[in-house]
Amino acid sequence: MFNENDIIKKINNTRPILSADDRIHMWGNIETKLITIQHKPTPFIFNIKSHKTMPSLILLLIALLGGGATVFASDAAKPGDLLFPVERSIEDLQIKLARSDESRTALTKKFANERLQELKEIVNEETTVLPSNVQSDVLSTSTVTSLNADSLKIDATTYTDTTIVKVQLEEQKFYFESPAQSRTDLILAVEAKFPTLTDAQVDKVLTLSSKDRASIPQDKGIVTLTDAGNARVTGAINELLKFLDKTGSSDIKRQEIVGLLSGEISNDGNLSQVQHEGGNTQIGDENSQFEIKIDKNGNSKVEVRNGNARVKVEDTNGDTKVRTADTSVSNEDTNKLATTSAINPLQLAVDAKIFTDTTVVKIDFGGQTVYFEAVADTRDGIISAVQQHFPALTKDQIDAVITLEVVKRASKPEDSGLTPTQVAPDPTVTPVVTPVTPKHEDENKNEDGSKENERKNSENQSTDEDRENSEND
Amino acid sequence: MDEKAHDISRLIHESAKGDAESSKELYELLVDKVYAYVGYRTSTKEHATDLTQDVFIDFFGNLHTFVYKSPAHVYAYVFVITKRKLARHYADMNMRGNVGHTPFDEEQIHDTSLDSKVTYANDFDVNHALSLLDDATREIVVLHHFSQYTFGEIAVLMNMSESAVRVRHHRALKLLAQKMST
Repeated sequence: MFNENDIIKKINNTRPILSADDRIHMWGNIETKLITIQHKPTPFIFNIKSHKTMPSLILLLIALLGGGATVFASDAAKPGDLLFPVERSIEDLQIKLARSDESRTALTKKFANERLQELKEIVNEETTVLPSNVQSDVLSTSTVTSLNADSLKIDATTYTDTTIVKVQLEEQKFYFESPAQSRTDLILAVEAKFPTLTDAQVDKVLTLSSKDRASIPQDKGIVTLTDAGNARVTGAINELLKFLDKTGSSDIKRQEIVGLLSGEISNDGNLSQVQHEGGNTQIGDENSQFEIKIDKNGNSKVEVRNGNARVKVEDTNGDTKVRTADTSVSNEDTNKLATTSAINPLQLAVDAKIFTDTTVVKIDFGGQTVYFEAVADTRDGIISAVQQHFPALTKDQIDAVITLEVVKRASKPEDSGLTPTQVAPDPTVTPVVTPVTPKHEDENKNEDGSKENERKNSENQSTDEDRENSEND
Repeated sequence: MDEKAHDISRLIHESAKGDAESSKELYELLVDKVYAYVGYRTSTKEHATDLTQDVFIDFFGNLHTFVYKSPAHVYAYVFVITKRKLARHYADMNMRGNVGHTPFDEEQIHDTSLDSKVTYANDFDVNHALSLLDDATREIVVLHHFSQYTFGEIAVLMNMSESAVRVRHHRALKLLAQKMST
């Protein structure tokens, strides 16, 4: 059974090698044929091959040829628009002309934010409201033959001009309007639309609320993406990833993750599922290839997933953050053990370090240690990430033992357990169920605070050699 | 500029002015990379050494027109010369009616005749495995493991992003491991 190291060895063993004799002999032949070249000064006033002057010339040319309007118009272009490639080219030029690393980083952040804003605009443009989908001939038996009473939800909201009733049966949603305002009248109104429902069933699940305003279209129907909207949103996501791939951090691993995702995102047909509640919009969910969340304040978050690669781009109050993660678990043998249904929480310990670019989660159980990364930077998000790898663990079990530490720097390879600190799984260990004692509240670390003990001071310093080794095979 | 870049820059500059010592240093720096790539692409040691020699004659002969940007750009420049030499070599071989040699287009990097190359011990499995990869990925594997370019340098040679190079290399190793295990 070959692994990658075997392949590397085999390839390296077949490398053509030049012998010392051939090397000397070859140089002798070359030397006898070399002609001393006298460098002649260029006849041009300035060296136009200089990469520093060329972009300036291009900009000058655009300005002279009256391209100012084009440049201005392209700034408003979105992915898919005719002028969007012009906007991209101008952004690339601005980044290349940046005089310092700080200004380059600031520009990169600014343009990443612009990609997010463009995505938001596309979502707003392409979401549409389907009108009420309740029709009398649908109500009969076909709609409710598979009714699962536990999945029935009925919400009625009374506005100043009408009452809107939302009925959810498992995955199906129905909306209709009614002039009814009292509970009794609303129960009757629901039963008129869904004759197979009883008074008791409706009364049990009906929730009433009221809003002191007139209703708007979004209140009355199902928000969905148009077919064209599907393609535009997918295209905008890919543009965002392409931008990050081209202009991202110097961390090769982070860039590798973005590279793995760039160009791989496709319209998986689930984008029509748009959740629109209280001014918040969500497209996709934790199981889809990407997830977009836009809240009523305009803050947005895009998370993209493919295999074990994750990227999250978040804009909160104008501050753009990019986080990446390789969610594969570090120890493959332990991974197999951990993901079987036989997993038991044996002296479980979960430590999560939230770096500026990713979150590294370390899990110890039964003398075995695993590491994985997550893009989540909140307690709930990290707990969900742990559950995805260890589905046998409950949220409460993880919550009781998890510790969080915010580290105000980018992650390093040694943070992800790439040092020989892992303990090999011991097949002779028989898992024993041990009740997990919840830690006291003050032993848990706040999400937005760093630890006050010596762990903060034990931050590893990587040597130049370590950095160089991490860039090579 | 780091030490390596400074050295190469100085060597290019001095070599272009005709300094033999600098030229030799530059040759020592580059010859293994060129020979390893050419050796993989040709069928005999004689062809490999002749072509490598021709590459350097062209390289030094045109050095006065070369504008130094970085070590990676020097490698890219040498790589372009190497591919042209190989293209011409295969064109010549075809004209001489050599069986088994197919035209080598410098833009088309795969040469099917390489599958029959038997020059180095224990290499048949590797050659067969490499032939399973697409052209660009095979090139990345050869440049990295034979010519020992870093991924950053290969990115410049092949006009790709470094992350794309790394991703392709990573996938290639996985595929090769899988294929050679079956």
